[in-house]
Amino acid sequence: MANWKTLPGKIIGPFWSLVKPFTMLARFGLTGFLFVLAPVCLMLALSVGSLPLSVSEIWATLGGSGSEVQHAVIFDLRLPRALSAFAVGGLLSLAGVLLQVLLRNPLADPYIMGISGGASVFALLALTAGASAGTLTGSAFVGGMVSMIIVFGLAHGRQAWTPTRLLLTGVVVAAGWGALISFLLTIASNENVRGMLFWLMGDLSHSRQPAPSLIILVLALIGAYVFARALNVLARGELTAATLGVNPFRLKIAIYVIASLVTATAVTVAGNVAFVGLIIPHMTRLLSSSDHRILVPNAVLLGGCFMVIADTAARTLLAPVQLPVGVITAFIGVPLFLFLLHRSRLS
Amino acid sequence: MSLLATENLTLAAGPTTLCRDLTVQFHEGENWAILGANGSGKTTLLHTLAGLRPAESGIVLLRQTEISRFRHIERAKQLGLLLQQSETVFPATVMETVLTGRHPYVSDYFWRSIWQWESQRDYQLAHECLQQLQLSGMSERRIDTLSGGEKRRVEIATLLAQDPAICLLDEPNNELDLNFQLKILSLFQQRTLKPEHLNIMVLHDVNLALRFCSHAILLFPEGTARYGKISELLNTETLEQLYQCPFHCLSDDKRTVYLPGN
Repeated sequence: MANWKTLPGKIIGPFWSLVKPFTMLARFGLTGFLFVLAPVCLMLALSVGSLPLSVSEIWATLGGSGSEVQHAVIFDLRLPRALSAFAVGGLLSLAGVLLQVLLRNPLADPYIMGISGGASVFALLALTAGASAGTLTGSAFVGGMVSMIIVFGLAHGRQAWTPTRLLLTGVVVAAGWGALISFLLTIASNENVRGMLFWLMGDLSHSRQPAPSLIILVLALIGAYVFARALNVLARGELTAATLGVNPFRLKIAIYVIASLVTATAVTVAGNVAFVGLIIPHMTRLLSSSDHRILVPNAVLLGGCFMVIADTAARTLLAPVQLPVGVITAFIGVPLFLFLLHRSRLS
Repeated sequence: MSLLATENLTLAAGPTTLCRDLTVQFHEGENWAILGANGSGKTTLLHTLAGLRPAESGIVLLRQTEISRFRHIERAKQLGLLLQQSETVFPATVMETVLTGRHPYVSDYFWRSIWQWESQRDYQLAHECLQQLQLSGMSERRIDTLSGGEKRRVEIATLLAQDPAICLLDEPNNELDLNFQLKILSLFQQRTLKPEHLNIMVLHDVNLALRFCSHAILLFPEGTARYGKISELLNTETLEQLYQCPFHCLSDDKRTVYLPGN
């Protein structure tokens, strides 16, 4: 059983400075791999489609020397869409990691707290009213924030919120939004229903502006990384965290606000994309570590890559028919996750 | 000068008053036992002493300063708490868990909290703590693969890695075999030989309390509390009153033992 890690500290001490760089490498091994994988995924997303492009053509176009058509395909269609997909995958995974610690529940995902429900109801209202794309985006974000405030206010109440109380409040509010969504779908006119369903299933075909969501992703990642170590402590329970020098109340509010903003952004860009926020955090835990200093960046990168691949598949598999990306994430995610789970049980 | 003290502390759980106007001073080198029946407020008192919950009235003083005025991180360097039970929803490895005990030191400064990795010294300390609890070979095991007693020892190792001057222990013997019960209590007793160290523990075993503790707080069912030197405090009559059951006292020239029941 004994390996170098289990030797007593006294023996390890002097050698630690020699060993340390390698353990840091091992810790971030997956991160390094994902840093390579991410551009590969993006290249794939740029090259596949009704107008296939080779790597050299993409490279030339990115450098500014491609044909007009190539330029249009990459800069107006594929690049913004691929970057949006990456941002959405990263945002959902980050929100999933944060909410799983906040609720200390492995089944928590970004949609469990009703944020996506609120965003969906407001988006469907905008669709019913025949609003423009800009208004749709804006109202979805507002809906997410409204839901966040409702859940927070109700869960907080007079006494402090326990994870169970917060979870139950979120689930019930989400159910309420679900009823409203069904109602809106029922009374919607026939030509609106298809757009609504696509929005509800998660769809990136209208994503033209990846910049805001990418900026929010980077800011949220920095924010989450600052208290990544505190997340490790909070995962051991609130009382333990308090005795180990974490202010649980402040940390919980920070997690809640960041997770909500991140989820609302993702929902605004892509609608409800199933499974990514639930599966990617667990997958990352199985592949690397449950230490949040490693888990947080890995989950964001893995989620981003996963989403880019899923979206590329969504727009090409049955081309010219475009599938909602949420269907693909479920198709890929569920078996992949079950496989990883099964493998980890055996070992 | 007391390390920890309470002034006119009143605690309640719902409508029941657990203790009234408790004023105690805890000094360095002392080992305190908190004894009482189920629901008499032992854990509530311990959590209040740890600053985890506000008292119904009265204050807790940590080094003459009200405990709520400490930053969490400063408090964690002074005072540690072993909880009665722990949650493990997302199981980490033994080593990762013990290293969370170093959190108050690693996250000391903001710049360190961004590049927040444990130093070589933190690892060394964690290894030593694991060694003390005979867990050396298990540092890479996942917590959820351990037995109940091993998990308990990991939690104790985490508290030792935190290395606070004041240890508050909520039933430290939970799930431990008899050998480890003795080992761990004497380990904590030895810590109080160092200057400015103090232990306060909730125990259910009166005889272990007599053996390892110098002082005791007794929480009686009707909401009164008595405290003082444990040898002067404990006798058959008091214990019968405390636990509402008969006790039998056996003693030889070395020690006194109380047996519950007739």
